[in-house]
Amino acid sequence: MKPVDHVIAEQLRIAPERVRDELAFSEIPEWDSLGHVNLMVALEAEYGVSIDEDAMLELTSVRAIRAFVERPR
Amino acid sequence: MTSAPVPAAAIDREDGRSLRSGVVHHARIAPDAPALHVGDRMLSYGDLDARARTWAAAIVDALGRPAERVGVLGHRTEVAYVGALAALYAGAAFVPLNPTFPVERTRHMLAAADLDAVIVDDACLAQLAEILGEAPRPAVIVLPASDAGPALAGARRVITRGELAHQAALAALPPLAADDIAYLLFTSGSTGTPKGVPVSHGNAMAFLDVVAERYAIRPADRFSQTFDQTFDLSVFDLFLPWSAGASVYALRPIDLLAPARFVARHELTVWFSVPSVPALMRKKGFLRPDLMPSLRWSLFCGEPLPRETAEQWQAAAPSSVVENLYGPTELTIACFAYRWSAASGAACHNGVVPIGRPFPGLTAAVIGDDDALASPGEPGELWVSGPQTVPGYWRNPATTSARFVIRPDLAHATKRFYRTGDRVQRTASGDYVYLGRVDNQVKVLGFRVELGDVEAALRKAPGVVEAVAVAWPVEPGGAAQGLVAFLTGAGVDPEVVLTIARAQLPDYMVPRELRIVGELPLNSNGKIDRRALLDSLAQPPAAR
Repeated sequence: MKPVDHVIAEQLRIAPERVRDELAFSEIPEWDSLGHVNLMVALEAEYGVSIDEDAMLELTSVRAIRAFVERPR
Repeated sequence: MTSAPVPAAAIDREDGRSLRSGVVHHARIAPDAPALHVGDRMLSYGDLDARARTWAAAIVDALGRPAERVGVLGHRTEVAYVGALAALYAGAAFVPLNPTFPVERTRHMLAAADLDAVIVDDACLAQLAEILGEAPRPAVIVLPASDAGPALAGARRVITRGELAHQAALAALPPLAADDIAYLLFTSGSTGTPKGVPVSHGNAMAFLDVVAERYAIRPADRFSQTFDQTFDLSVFDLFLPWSAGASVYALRPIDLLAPARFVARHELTVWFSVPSVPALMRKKGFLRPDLMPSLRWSLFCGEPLPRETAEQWQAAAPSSVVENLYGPTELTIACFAYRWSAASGAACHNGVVPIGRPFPGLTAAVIGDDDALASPGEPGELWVSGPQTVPGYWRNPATTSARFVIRPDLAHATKRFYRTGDRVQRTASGDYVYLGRVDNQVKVLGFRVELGDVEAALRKAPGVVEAVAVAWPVEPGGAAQGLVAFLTGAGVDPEVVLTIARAQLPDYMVPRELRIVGELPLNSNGKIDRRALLDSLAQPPAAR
């Protein structure tokens, strides 16, 4: 499995060093609604998780995504 | 719904007939009625009118005269919405400026618009000094949500929130005439330099009259506000409901991720967005039946509407009528509409919903390659004339005379046509279908190729979500040697795509190269940026 930072950087097409905990949806042009949906689809594929509408609306920061992916299952 | 439909956009007996007159009128007859919801805040018609009158008064006092053009720098906030109205109250055209655009682009727009004043949201203060630079204009800066502004160059008059609190409202608004400019927008020109499009009050009211009647808008209606204000479709979102005493619900960027939820929570009755919004819902499987029972109109505009999107949205909003609208900024918001029905699938062309028929009062002509009227069923460029045709481009007579033309052989000698640059075809039913941009028609090895046909063939391959073809490589004289296609989608097998393309297309239309990409670049209007794709091909391989 790829580290979550890599998946985020890859999907948003930004340099990995720009992926910091505070980075959030709509804060940079690359993380727009299209980028967000692509990111959610990629997280599902990479980590075998299911992201419903509620989760999609909550996973709007790197910190929230990290916590979601790294939580014990 | 028992109240009688309002037949046309409201006029006010004292303020007359302009884009602002709906708010002026409803503030007088129903001041407590809700006009605008932004986040948790609601502004009534009385609130909107009072704020706009005060901000406008500050501008008129500072200038010593009515304003001509007022910029509004803000993004989906109360200041951005009220600012546009305040500009109209000051007798000016509003010029929306988007803080999410590159600073260089905004600076160009600001200089080209030659503004008297700019109204600035507090979230944009840091950007303001950078945008204004050393330019002497605009001389008046209004900061309705801030008590202090940044240090600004020049002898500018800065009006803060504290000063506005003591400002007397304008009792009599500067008069507006049908020929006065209501708003000035900048579209992304093919040269990369944005072109200004001034739209008159007469243009805007002609549009509002048609849609107010077509959709029988009533005060009980609740509208979505999805479009950025730099996009003219936002004028529909705001000023159509305000012309009829209805209310507007602004979506924050995050709300656009779950639009069905927003519609259900606020019991919206009118939805209007680009088709990309439901396309994203489809991608995640979130566009399900019966999600939005409150909607009575579901309207889409700004890009081709795929058939599957129309079908699935119709199922999700079963009580609504789904329509596909079409219109460039130069023809004032929208000028064609197609009403979706259960039988519409057969009318789709290349999997895309038709754009329907021109609005009443407009003359549409399809001009073939020989510069004459195309025969029915033959494709050609769409030309449109009528009260929604704008006066021309802003301070750009050369481009104006190239795109706005009088053709006595097509219509009455005084009618000015706007050449849309869009290729359409009028079908036997009388509906028009959109085929692509005129410049998307290319010649490959001497053969005329409609890129939309190639793209439609590629989209039939398994896994392909989007397909965009460009002519490449192109010789200096403009002759293309072949095509390159960019595809998005999961698990796309290039060999399978090419096999499917070869089965449908002649050899010269089959792309020489396929590039599978994560997503396609979009321009500032949210449309696919073909120029950026061509630029990516023009770079040497090492730079890719």
